[in-house]
Amino acid sequence: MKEFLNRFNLLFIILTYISMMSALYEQINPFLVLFGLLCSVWRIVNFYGRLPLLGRSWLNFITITSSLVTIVIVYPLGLFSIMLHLIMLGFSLKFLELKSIRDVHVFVNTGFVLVALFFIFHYSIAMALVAALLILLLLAVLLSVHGGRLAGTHFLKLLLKSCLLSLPLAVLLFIVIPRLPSLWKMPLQQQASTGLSDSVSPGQIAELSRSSALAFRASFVGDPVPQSERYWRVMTFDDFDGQTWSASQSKKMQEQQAKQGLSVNLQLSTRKNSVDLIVEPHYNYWVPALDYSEPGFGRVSLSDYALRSTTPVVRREHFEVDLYQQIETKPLTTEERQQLLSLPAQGNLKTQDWVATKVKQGIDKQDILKQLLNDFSTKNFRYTLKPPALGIDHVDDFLFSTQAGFCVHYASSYLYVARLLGVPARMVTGYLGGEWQAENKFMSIRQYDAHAWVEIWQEDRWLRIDPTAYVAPERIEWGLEQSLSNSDEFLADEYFSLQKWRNIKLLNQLRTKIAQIDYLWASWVINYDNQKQLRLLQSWFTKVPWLNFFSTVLMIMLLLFLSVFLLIFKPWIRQKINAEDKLYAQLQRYYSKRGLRRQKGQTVTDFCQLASAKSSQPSTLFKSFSFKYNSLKYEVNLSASERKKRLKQLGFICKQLQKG
Amino acid sequence: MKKVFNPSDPFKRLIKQRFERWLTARLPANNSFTLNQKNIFIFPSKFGLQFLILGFILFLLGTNYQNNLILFVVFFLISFMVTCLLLSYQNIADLTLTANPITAQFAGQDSVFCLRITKKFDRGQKIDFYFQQPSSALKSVIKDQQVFVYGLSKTRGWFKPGRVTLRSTFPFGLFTVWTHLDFGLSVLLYPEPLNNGMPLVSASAEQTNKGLTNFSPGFEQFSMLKSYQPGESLKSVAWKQLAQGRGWFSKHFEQAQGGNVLLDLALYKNLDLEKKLSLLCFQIIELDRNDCRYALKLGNKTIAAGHGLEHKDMCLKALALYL
Repeated sequence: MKEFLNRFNLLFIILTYISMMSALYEQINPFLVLFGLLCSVWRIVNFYGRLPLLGRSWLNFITITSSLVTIVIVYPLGLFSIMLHLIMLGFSLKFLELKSIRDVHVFVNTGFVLVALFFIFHYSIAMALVAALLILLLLAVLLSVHGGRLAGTHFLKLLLKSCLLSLPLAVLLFIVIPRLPSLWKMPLQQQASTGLSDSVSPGQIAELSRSSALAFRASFVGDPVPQSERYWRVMTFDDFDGQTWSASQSKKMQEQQAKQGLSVNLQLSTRKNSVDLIVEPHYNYWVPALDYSEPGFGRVSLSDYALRSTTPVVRREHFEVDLYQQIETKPLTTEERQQLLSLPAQGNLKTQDWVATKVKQGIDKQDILKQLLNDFSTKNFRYTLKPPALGIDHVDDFLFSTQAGFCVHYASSYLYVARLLGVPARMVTGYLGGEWQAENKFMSIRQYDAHAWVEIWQEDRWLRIDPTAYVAPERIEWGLEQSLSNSDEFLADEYFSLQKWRNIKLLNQLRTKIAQIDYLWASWVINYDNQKQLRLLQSWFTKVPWLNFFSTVLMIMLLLFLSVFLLIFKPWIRQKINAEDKLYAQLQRYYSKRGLRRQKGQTVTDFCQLASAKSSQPSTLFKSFSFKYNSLKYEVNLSASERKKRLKQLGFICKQLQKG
Repeated sequence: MKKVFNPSDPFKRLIKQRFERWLTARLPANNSFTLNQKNIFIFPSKFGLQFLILGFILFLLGTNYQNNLILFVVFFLISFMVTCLLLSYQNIADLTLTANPITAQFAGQDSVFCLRITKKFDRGQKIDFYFQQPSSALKSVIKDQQVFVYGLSKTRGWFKPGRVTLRSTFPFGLFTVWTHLDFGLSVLLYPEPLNNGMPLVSASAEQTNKGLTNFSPGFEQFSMLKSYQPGESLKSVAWKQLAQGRGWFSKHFEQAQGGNVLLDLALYKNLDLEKKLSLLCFQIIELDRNDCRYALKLGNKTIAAGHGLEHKDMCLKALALYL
């Protein structure tokens, strides 16, 4: 039965298509967006009756060209992108040709796949609501097709009713069904990594500081680490070319190995506490680490105590990291020492002179470094997000002329001096501090908490020095906003960010509430895993005693039911049927097909008599069948061999009787 | 005594036979059915199966990307299916269908069968009704509390259109709810009326000799006065009597008062039996419309001359059932 679509159906279909397209707009190549736009324009014009639908050959032509163009355009973006774009293209083409109800079914199914792909990119509550709306629209399309003449409030009521009725079971399944591990590796979406980059030059972190985007969230199991110790380590740089700090070759090698899961073995001792991290996707491998973090499952350590995930963090990911008090260090090798002391040959003469004079004066290395830090706090140094530009010799420029800069400026200059003095040193970037949400006992670390500091090798261990602490101690104690002398610099570009307006009380309350909800969403929905499931169910069972009782009763009843079932039906006992009865039953089956059914109480002799009327076989054959059957059944003292013989005869007769 | 099986798909046919037998045992014929779990069947539709496959694909996607939100969508879709199952049952359950008595109809035309529906206000949405073995191209019509289902047969006699199928994919098309109900429907089909342009009665002079007069069109004779019924043509009002103050009367006329027409099957020679019956059928209808008296002779069965609706029905029934 071919059924056609009416305007009510088409209205929903067009609406669904446009919403789906706008929801996935960011992830889709402009070419495909344009194509989708054309499709919807054609459909809308068709809806108003101004244009016919495209013919078969036109559609074929469009299908082939658009898929070729899409593949050519998207090919370099990787497998995931190809998959996404082809599904989207299929969705668009189905939308364009859509005629019958079967087309609508394909359209809706593809729509659901797209909603699932939407969730690979988006995971916030707001986006989940958008996806819920998309699902609602898809279901509305189905209801408009199959719901007959429902319209208006009845239509909406039924739609919402069926969705709401489905929710409890869905939630229960979500809570109870155990999660499987990844069955096979899927292509990942390629996206530019966000947050800290793999090299740093003065001014770079200042850019990050303009963003209030969430980097990760942390909560402590046990005593929280004190504020001044919350240096979240991400990258370590040991190579300097005069402008930028980056990783040396051997460090890059280690990063590569880390991606394959090769971990550096750290000698950790005295467990302190552990920290729960929910890291926002940054499309890179790093996991922020406090000193000293144990790698654990799915993560590896680097020799600089940083943590790396074995897979890129492409969604909100949950990490549980154990923290330790002490670490055993190995002395530096000659190569390492060389790398940690290397400096470009040219440039920064003023600084070199300054260091040389101090050394000539016979001042101890450590004292010179201390003096530098002292200078930062006492002399005219400023902490600002908008430092003046520096020249080629930027250490010179910073130390002796501008004297205004951001954490990287201070760290970089300090490092330079330390290396000049022959103290092995390296630059560490990461995050410092974070906002503590006392109510839910978690802290949010945002991009503007990005920081850079220095580690120097002293007494066979790494010692953390934060030059910024000397120029702006508020940065360590209170965070970025308080440390800036000019508060306009804080989130200068984000006028609408609630972070910027946190001194307004109402807005601040709203902001913390949203942050709380989002945290719960992240930890209980996005990162709900088998462990959490086990803990939740266990807590239910301990909290609600009758649940335990209930499940026990249920189990006992189930067992009882099973045993009763087995006792009654005894599936292990097969009903034994005698050979002669089997033959008789065969005969009955044969004649019942020919319209003769044995009635209850009919003897075998009677039955054979009736059957002979229906058959062309001689009636004597029927008589001998009944005679043989009766003798087998009722004759006493029948010897085994005789019995066997007669059975054989009976079988033969039976076969004959089934021929006529 | 060998049965002739359709060689192309004996297996299908066997299954169909089994199914029919099972259906007869499970849903025996009845004049009225109330739909409940005993006579409704619910299976996932083709789209429902596709939907399940979709759920499985999304489950793989969600598991492989370790994405809880995708998994939630999967669980939602599964529980949505369960909800649909219940809603589709609710839509059709407690519907009561009763077959209305059917008057005889003509072969070769779509014969209409009427079922009365009793339902709650918003239940029984979008149900298709058709015969399990559809014979007519007309779709069933649902009007107020009645369903008109059409069947078509070209052969006269008793026509049994078989079981009525109810099918619905309400509300989301994920499940097909269906049942085959046997209302024991049967209708008497009169032969298809056939006008071959012959004079209304082929009666020859012999008939007149036998005392039956020929039919003469246009000849009308006043027969009696009856009390006037509202709705009757004003032309038939007996104005004279009204003017005399005797109240409203209508004049009735009778035609061919002079003699009866004999319709004899044997008079048509060299024709197919069905065609002969069709011709007779047409004549009976025409004679009845002109209010003539006529007798019918079918082989050795004779129906005495008469007129009126009952007489016509008797004659047509005789035609329909003539062997």
